[in-house]
Amino acid sequence: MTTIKRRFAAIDLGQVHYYTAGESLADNGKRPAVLMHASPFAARTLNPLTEQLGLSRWTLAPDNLGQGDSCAPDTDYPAIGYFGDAMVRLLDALKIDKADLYGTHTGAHTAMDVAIRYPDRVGKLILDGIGLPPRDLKDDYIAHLRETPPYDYSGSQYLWAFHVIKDMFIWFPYYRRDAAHRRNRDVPDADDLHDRTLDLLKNLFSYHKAYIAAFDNNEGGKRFPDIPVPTLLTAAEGDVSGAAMGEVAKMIPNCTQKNYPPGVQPGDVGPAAAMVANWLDGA
Amino acid sequence: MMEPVRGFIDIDEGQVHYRTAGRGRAPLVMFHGSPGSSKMLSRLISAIGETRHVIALDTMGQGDSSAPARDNVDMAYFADAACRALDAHGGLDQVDVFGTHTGARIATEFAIHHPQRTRKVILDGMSAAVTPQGLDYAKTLDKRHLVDQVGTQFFNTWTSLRDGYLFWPATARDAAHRRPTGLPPLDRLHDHVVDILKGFRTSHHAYIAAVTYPSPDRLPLITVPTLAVCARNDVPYAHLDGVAALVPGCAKMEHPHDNPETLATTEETQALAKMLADWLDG
Repeated sequence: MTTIKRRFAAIDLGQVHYYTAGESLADNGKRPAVLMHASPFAARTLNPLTEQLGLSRWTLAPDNLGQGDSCAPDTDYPAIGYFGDAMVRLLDALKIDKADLYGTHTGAHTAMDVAIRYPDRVGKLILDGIGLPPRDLKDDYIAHLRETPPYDYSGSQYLWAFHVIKDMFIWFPYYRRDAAHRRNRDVPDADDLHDRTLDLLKNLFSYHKAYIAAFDNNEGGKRFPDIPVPTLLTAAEGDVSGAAMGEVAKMIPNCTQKNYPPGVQPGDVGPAAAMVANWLDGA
Repeated sequence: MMEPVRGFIDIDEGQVHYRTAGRGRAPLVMFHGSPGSSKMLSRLISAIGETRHVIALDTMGQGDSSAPARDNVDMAYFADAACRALDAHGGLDQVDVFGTHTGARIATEFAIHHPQRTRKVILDGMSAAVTPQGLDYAKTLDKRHLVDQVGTQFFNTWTSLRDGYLFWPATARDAAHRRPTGLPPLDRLHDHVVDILKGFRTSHHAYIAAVTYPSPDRLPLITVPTLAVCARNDVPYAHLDGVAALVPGCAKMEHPHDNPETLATTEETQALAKMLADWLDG
C-alpha cells in the first residue's frame, strides 16, 4: 500500500490540494521537499517521486491552482508570480519556513519564481525540463491554450480532452499533428491515460492558466541569472526542453547540470529519486 | 450558500474524502448514491449547513475515497468504514444520518449496527425489494474492462449517464421505459461524469452491494426514529410506501417538489433541506 496521503490546506483563495509522504519526518532536520508538477496534469503524476523522497524527508506535491483538485485562480490570465505567491501562502499555511523545491516544466517556472522572489524560503532548487523556447513558439502555444474547449450536451468535451492528453505524447506541440512534429515517445497505458484525462476534465476552464503563465515567463532566459540558490538543472532523455540545457546551465549562477539516468521518461522521474535525494543532501 | 469545504480522513485501508459545511446541533452525516460522490449532494450540504454541521462522506471506491479493503464487500462494510472515519475525525459521537439510494443502504446498516450513535435516520430513494432486474443490472456494473487506450470509458460514461435520466433501466431505450425527466444543467451533468470517472475502476463494489441489498430483511432491524422520503420523479418512488412499512414506526414524506436532487433547482433543494431539517429538529 502506498504511503502517500492526500491533504487540503486553506489559503485565502480557497483550498490547495496536495499529496504528501514522510509527514512523520517533518522534524528530522532536513528541509521539506516541495514538488511542482507539469501542465496540464496534476501532482498525482509525481507520486513515484513523492513516495521515494518521502522515505528521507517530509515531501509535498501540491496541485497548481486551477489544476488537479486545487481551487482555480480568481483572474483570467495570471502571471507566473501569481502561482509563486500562492505556493508561498501554502508554505505559510503549513508552517514551512524553508523548503527545497523541485519543479518540472510549468512547475519549474513556479519554483524558479519562488526562489528568485522569496530566496529566504528556499534551500535548494531543482529545475527539470526547463528550456529556452523561442517567442514565436510561446505565442503559438499560448494562442492554442487560450482556445475555449468544446462543452456541450453531445459530450464533445470528453473526446477533446482524451485526444489532447494522448496527443501530447505523440506530437510537440500537441496541436501540430503532422510528421514533422512527431515525438518519439510511448502513449501512456490505459490507466495513466484515464487519470491524466480526468485531471483535465476536472479543470476544463482553468487548466490553461498556469500553463500559459509558464509559457509567458522567462523570455529569452532573462530570469535565470537571478536565481540565488544552488540549482540542479536536469531533464529526461527525449524531453522537449532538454536541447537547451547546456545554454541554460551557463545562465544560472550556482548551477549543477546533470541528466537523469538513461531510461527515465519525461514526467516519470520516480526512478531518479535517488539522484534527486543525493543532490539535496549534498553540501 | 457557501460551497462545502473538502477534506480527507485517514483509516486503515486508505483515506475517506468528505465535504462539510455548517456548525452546531447534532451533526448530520450524509451518504450519496452510486456511482458518484458527495459532490452530487453539494447543494443540499450547503443548504442544510445553514442550520447545522453536515459532513458527507464519499463511499469507499467512489469519488475521492480509497478503494474498499477487499473484493465482495457488503453494505455492512461500507457502514463500518464510515463509522471508523467518523471515529478518526472526532467530535461525531452522536449523529443524524441521511442516505440516498446506495447511501440509504449504508445509512440503514449504520443505524442497525450503531443504534447508540445514531440519533435519527433519513432514507431517500430507498428500495423495498430486490428485483430480478436489479440482479441482472448488478452484472453490468463492473466496467473496468472499458478503460483502454481509445478512451471507450469516456463515451460510455457520458452516454450511460445521459440515458439514465431518459430511460429506466438506462439500457431499455424505448417509449415504455421513458422517464418523465429531462437532463440536468450541463455543469451538473459534467460534474457527475467526472465523479463517475474518478471511481470508474472501483465504484462497482458499493453499487453491486446496493442493488443486491436485502432491504426487506434489513429495514425491520432499524430501531431509531426513521424518515423515508422520495421525489415523485425518482426511480424508487413506487417503493416509498413499502420502505415505510418495513421500518418500525417509520415516518414518510414526499419531496416538496417532483425532482430528485440531481435535477432539483436551487429553490427546490432549499425546500427539501428545510423539510429534512424540520423533521430532524422535531
